[in-house]
Amino acid sequence: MNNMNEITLDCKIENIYAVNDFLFKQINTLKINKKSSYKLELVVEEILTNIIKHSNSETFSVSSNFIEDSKKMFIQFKDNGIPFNPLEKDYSDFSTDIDKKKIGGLGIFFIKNNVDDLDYQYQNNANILSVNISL
Amino acid sequence: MNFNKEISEENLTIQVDGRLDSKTAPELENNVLNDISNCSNIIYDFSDLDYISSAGLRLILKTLKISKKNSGTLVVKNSNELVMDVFKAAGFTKIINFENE
Repeated sequence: MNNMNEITLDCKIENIYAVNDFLFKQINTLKINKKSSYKLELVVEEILTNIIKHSNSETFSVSSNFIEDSKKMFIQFKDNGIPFNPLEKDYSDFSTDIDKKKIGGLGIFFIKNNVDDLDYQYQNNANILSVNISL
Repeated sequence: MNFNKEISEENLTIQVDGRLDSKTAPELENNVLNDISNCSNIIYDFSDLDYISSAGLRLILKTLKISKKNSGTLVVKNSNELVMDVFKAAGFTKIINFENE
């Protein structure tokens, strides 16, 4: 595999911006359109928000590899928190009954909706979430 | 994220610039929730909103539920195309009035 870049940060919501900077630096040489930028930011935010809020981990790490030719980015998210598979939650509430409407699972829906593929493993006491995304 | 609140009679207009994400949406909520509960008609003006995520949608839904309890209205104005795509993907176009000027 090519050189993977990696960053490790404390589980704090404001650190999501640093991850965006980290990822966009790698795409630097290539101009991706606004829609792709948005897609990347959304996927990253929704994944990290889940980790930061639910994993009870102190830190998380993000490693990535960007292939210029195909404009595909591989990103792996790791944390040492409790086993937490975000894929198990579904946003199935597309109902129009406002009183009953719940929003749980919307984050994971946006993730699934925007990545090419998604894989979750729990290995060596770490949650490992990997995505491939076309930009 | 910058925001601006304008109250006139029963109408509350909340203009939000920048990003409504998992960091900024709670901040906005802290600043507008009281007013939302006290006004009947809420308008979110997203003319200068660049980005929204599920956190932002959560706040919009919360607003909708409150306005419904108050028998009021909610309108989301001037969302750009990318922001609208997010609303559409989540099915919000079926439950919320979107207007563009």
